[in-house]
Amino acid sequence: MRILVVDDDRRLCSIIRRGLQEEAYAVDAAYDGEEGEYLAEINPYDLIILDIMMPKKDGIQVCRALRSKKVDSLVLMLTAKDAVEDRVRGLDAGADDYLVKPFAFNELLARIRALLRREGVFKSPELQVGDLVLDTLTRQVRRGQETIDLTTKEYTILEHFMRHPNMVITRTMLEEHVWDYDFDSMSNLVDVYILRLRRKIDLEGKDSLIHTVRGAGYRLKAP
Amino acid sequence: MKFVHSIKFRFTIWYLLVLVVLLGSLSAIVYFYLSRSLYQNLDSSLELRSTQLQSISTIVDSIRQGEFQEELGEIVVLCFYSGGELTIVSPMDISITLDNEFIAQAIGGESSFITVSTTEGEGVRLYAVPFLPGGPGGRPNIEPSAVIVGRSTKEIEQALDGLVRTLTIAVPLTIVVAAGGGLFLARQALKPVDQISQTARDISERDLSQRIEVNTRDELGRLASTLNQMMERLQRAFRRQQQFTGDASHELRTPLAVIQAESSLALQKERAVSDYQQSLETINQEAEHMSLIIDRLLTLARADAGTEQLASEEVNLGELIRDLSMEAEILCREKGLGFQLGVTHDLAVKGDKAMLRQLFINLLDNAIRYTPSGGTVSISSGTEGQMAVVVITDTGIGIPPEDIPFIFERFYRVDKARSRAGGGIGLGLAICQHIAEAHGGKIGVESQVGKGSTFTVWLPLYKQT
Repeated sequence: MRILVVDDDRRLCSIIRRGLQEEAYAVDAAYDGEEGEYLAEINPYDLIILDIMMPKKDGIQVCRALRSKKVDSLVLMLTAKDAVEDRVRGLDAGADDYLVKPFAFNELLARIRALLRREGVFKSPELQVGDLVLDTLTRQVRRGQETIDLTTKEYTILEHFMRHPNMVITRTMLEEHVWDYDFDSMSNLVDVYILRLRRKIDLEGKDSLIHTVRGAGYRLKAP
Repeated sequence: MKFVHSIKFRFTIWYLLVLVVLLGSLSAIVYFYLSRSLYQNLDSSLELRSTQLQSISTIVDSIRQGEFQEELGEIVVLCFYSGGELTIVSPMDISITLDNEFIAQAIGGESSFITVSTTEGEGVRLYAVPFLPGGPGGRPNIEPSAVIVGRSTKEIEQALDGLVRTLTIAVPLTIVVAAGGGLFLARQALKPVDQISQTARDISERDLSQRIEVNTRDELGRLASTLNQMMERLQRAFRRQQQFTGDASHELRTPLAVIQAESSLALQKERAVSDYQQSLETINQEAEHMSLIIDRLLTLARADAGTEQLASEEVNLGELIRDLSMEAEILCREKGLGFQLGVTHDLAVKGDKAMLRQLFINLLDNAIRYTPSGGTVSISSGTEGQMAVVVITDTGIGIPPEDIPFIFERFYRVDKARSRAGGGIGLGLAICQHIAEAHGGKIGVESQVGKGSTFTVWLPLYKQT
């Protein structure tokens, strides 16, 4: 899952970024409305955390502009403006959720999880394909009775697959949704990670879940 | 009860009271003059008649035959003393009793009027005159005698009764009609008052935007527009208050958001000691920033409440500025700015040294904050009439002309991002203005975008007596 944080308070931005990275999200940050809008346009973020009071362009304007340009990333307004009118204005501008500063980090995380759930196939925090289960709350992965240990990146990739079961996922899609802006897309890192993930998931005696779609990418499918 | 306490009601009651008094006196006057003139007319006609009677030689016979009574409805009586006896010659059916004294007076030569009642209760006006024979064919050797002429007052009484009847119907009727009219007029005149109070009642603190409709230019119209103006001021003050509260809460929430985010993130799981140290450092910095905001808000709140304690000591402005300039010079050097201490005279002002210090620190701080490296900040002092003047000039980014009227307002920022990143709060200049004004002075600014700003502080000079 790739998230963009737009807030002019650099300190808060870096805290959010740090906390989200810990939770295995790929995070980019922008410090004003214009920069945020630009980044949101060129990258397919799963979610954008947007402050309202920002220099150059405020969050409401950015959100409206993005929606009118058919950018359909989820938008979570995170702002110190707490009046009912402000919330209404934010949501009406196209935001999907609204969280008032100051906030507890676990609430932010829970809201992000909830928003991402809303978009996906699964409405529970547990994603399941075949006998493969991924718990987005505890970040535990099980195949049948067996727990599987994954690195953060491997987990992120698997989560992306599990949120889009039976869909062909291209390398570019993975790059865009799993790695942040600093990723060098010329490398074959994606393939390396897929290989590692396969080794861990496709246990002996069990069916293979990750299938290669020749010339396109990969697909996670129950046998 | 509500109606009894209304102006309408009192207005009508007073109006009716005046009307009753006026109509009452008018009726009384009319009645009095009418009756007086009617009786006067009757009296003069009796006088005239008595002189006519003097010339009637056959008067005694005529009386006896009741001629006068039949023809004219009048009573004519002749009285005289005959052999010591009072003889009264009168028509047979005279139904009045004649007072002897009244007759004696007339016989004695003095004429007079009297009103008596007949046995039937009818009023009769009597006039007694000495009867002096001597008309043509007059009667000789007659005793001194008097003739009494009388006429009924029935007609006068009827006329007066008619008047009274008319008045007793017309006056109350007039009053009733006037009461209705008065009430209608009062209601009409006071209708806008009800509208005003209705509108005023509808205006709640949530919605101060309503206004009373002003249709007229009379007293009530003026009242309505006065109320509207008051409402306008209230609304503006309310909006300013809301804006201030909103700004203050936003300013306090921003560092609070960092504190809460940082601390709750740190507590998510077990971390290395160095991570905790870093988190605590961040929290500490934000807490310091918050306490600065709260300090300044308290300063302003005390100023607003008027509970501020201002010391009143003699302050040497020149000394204070030289003192501050040493600190300012260090800060300027750190940022790569030039600093110039201009002419500083030793000027005495009266006031609170700590607050004046705060005033100039804020101004110098702003000058340094908004001047890019390579620029210059300077401070100097002088006099202007009865005022000490301190001028702080920078070659910084300047203030756009459209922002200048607002920069002394609380939480006003020309560029929100830049000043927050630079550590500004947006209260510094508001406090500066408050301090200058609390000392009987003022503060002004001239600025050009890209060239720099000049802040000038005027403070009244202190003269020792």
